[in-house]
Amino acid sequence: MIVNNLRLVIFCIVLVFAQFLINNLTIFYVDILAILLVCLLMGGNYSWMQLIILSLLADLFGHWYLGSHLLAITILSIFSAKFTSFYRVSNWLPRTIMANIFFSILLLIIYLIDMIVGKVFTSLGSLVFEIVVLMPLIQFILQKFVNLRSSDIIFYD
Amino acid sequence: MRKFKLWLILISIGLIAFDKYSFISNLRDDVVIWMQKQTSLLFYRIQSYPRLVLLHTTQQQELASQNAQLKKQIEEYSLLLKQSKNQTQDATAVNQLNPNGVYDDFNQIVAKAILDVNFFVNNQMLIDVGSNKGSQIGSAVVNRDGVIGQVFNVNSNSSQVTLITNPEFKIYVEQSITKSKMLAQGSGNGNIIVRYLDKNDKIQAGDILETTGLDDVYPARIPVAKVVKVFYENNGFNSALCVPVVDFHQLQYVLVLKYDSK
Repeated sequence: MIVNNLRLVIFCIVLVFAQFLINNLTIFYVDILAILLVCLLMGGNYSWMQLIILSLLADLFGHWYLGSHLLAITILSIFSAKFTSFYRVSNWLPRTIMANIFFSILLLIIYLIDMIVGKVFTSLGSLVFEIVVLMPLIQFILQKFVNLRSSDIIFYD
Repeated sequence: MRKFKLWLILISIGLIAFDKYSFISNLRDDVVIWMQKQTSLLFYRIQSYPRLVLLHTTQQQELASQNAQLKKQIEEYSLLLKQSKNQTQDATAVNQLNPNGVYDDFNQIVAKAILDVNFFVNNQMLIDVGSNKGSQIGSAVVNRDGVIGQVFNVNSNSSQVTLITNPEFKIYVEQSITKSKMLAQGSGNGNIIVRYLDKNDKIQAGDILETTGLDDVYPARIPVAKVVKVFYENNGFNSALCVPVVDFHQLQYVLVLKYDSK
């Protein structure tokens, strides 16, 4: 499984480091793994094992309650299946817009969970930073370097 | 699939509750705080490393210069201490002269010798005792080793001394064993020469010449010079080349002796 998803595993490790550095050294408090989760969910070709592991990682490194990401992504998966086909054929900009919408819903769910449980944290600047900078960037990297199809690999080689 | 998602939702809610009401939350917070602290420390070190290095270099340079200054001070102080010890020993030795009552007929004044470059050229020396302390022209100047010279000029706070190596200086001496009398005179180059020695006088290299005590200037039996070489001169007499028993280069304190006619 790791060998099959080697590019994704490396990308996840890089994102974890990036999130750790941004959260500790800047004024932003971002949830990069949640962006990746949304992107994978929208792409449709995911396994639930990937989503569960990534959700728990996102909770651990983002200091959210364990299971909050998993709950949010499970709820989102109920609606995302209808948009998967359109998402796959879309270009970078529509993809980013769609992913941003789902990402906002995911953050809203997490916010609600936090509010119910008792620990609330909001940062509008971080949200804007995630939507404007990080989401397009991750979309671009996923499209160009991580989710390569066999024909792409032949083309690049 | 719906069943699976329902299970996932239930598991998620269970995890959230478990996280909320168990030790995991505190543990995770502690780990996070520790990691944040370490990260901040690491970045602080990385950021401040050039400043620390520069600071260390500056401090090292300051410490090195301070160390050099302190070493110099230690050398100066150790030299002063050594000189002080020598002076103390010398003053004590000068004060302890006259164990056998040799100087009983003389007034004794302890003086400090001041040597300058003229000492080598003029065979003269200055002492810090003048007329205010009773120094007079003609007073003998000795130390624990032997005769040094004679006062020839007196000021109020200092006196000039002619050394026994001065060509103008003459002293009546005798051989320490045979007691044969002779007149010694400075030769000007750090030596003393004794002329007109009878060929029958048993004098040889290594003999010590002492004062006779007959001239009322020097007490008797004070060493003056040591014979280095005896040689024949064409005038029918022998001559003896001598060196002073006193090392003028190491003079510290001297004793000025003034004959007391009472």
